Amino acid sequence: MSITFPKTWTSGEKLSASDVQSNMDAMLVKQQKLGASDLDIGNKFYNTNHIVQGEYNAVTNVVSNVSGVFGGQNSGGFYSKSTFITRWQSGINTPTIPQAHYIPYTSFTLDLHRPSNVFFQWWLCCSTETDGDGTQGDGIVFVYLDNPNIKLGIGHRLPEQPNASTADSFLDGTYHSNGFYMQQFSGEQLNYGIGLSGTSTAGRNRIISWGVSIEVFYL
Amino acid sequence: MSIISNSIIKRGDKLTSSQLNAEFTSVNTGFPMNKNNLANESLDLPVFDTNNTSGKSGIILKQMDMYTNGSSATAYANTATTYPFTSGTVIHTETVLYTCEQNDMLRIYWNLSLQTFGDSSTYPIGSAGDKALCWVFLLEWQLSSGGAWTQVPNQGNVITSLPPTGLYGNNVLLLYGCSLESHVNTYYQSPSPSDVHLYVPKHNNYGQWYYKVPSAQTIYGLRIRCMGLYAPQYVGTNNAIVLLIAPSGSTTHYVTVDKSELGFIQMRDR
Repeated sequence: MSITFPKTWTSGEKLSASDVQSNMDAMLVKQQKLGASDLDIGNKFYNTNHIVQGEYNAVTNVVSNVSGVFGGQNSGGFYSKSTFITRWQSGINTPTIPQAHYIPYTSFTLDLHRPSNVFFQWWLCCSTETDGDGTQGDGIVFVYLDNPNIKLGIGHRLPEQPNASTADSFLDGTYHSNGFYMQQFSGEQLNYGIGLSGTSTAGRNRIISWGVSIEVFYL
Repeated sequence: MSIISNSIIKRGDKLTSSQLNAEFTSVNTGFPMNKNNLANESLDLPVFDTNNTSGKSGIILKQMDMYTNGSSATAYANTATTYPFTSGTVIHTETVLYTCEQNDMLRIYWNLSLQTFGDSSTYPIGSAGDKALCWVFLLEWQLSSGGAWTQVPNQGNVITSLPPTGLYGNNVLLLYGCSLESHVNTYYQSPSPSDVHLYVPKHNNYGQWYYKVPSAQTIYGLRIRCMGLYAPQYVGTNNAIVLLIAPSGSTTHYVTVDKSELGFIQMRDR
């Protein structure tokens, strides 16, 4: 709706400050109280070009957008970026609760600027040959948030090749694993870690290929 | 584009009533404002109507929830010889209330911690498909409060008749809402007995299902149900999984799920 000006001058009329002020005030009122009819609401005002461009980190393969933070990493193929869990790090020889450790490469460090919901996924393929210690151990993969020894969700197990097996470890010591974890944050989280950690009672869980992904939603 | 020019009265002009009136009324050419008024503006996170405590504002993400179940459940191999066979075992049930609009995107995931058990001699070990025996974990939902549980779209019932064979199971093209779990690793190793059956220690299963909701609907429940044992077989003109029938009363072959997680994501299509 257009502005209705209170004053319309006629020829020869004396120009008064109050009349000018009245018309100026009419504009002021409109400017401060726009209605739907003042806007072309039948057509979109914005398209994706109006959204502030995201920031892409080519090293971590993570992009930070207005809508959230998204990214992923993978091993790139068999043996090109393998990782591991081992009982030698888990402290299994001291019969207490095994210490979980980061699984190298499989973590993200995030700066989350708003309340958000986080969805983390992974897959991996692991080969665990017998370590000859007389027991069939296993590796257990967890999701951690900020502290690798906080073991969240179901432990995903990677069994060791049976001790008595005469087959190759690729036959009965190789397993795949997939999993996910969801987390809600009610405030800002800076320099925040999320990824995979693990404990093991096997000599070496060789994670020969793997992938992790992160989806953080702000909106 | 809506532009206010303020160009009618120029410095040095004699001020006339018509110019003065025109200068004010020309402001109305600025209405209605349209997209061109905002062409050079940019939108950053603070201008969006975000949620104060979560990322579930509804602009992109509507719902994201993760449910954990620590109760153990065991499913035994089917021994019934006729339809509808052994009904299977419910592994995980959640009562929910999700209101979905047309074109909402649903993403459902599940993690299971499980172990399979059996031997090297009891049928269906020795069947034609015993190299690939598997359990089926079906995703099912409830679309009315307290109503019937049904398989999710693109997931068929796995006790469907597969003519002309008299077998039951379903076409692999209707297995989008389930995950399969190998019952036993079977491999050849000479000398005789040549087949070795290796039951894997406790391990995990993972499944996922995606769906674009075609029309508004409400989800009242989600669950995972396990049935088995199945084997792959070419039936009629399709690849299928076929339900096998273990000996009457047999509890030799089974799977125990000791923990499960179910994740639900609902997103706007655009």
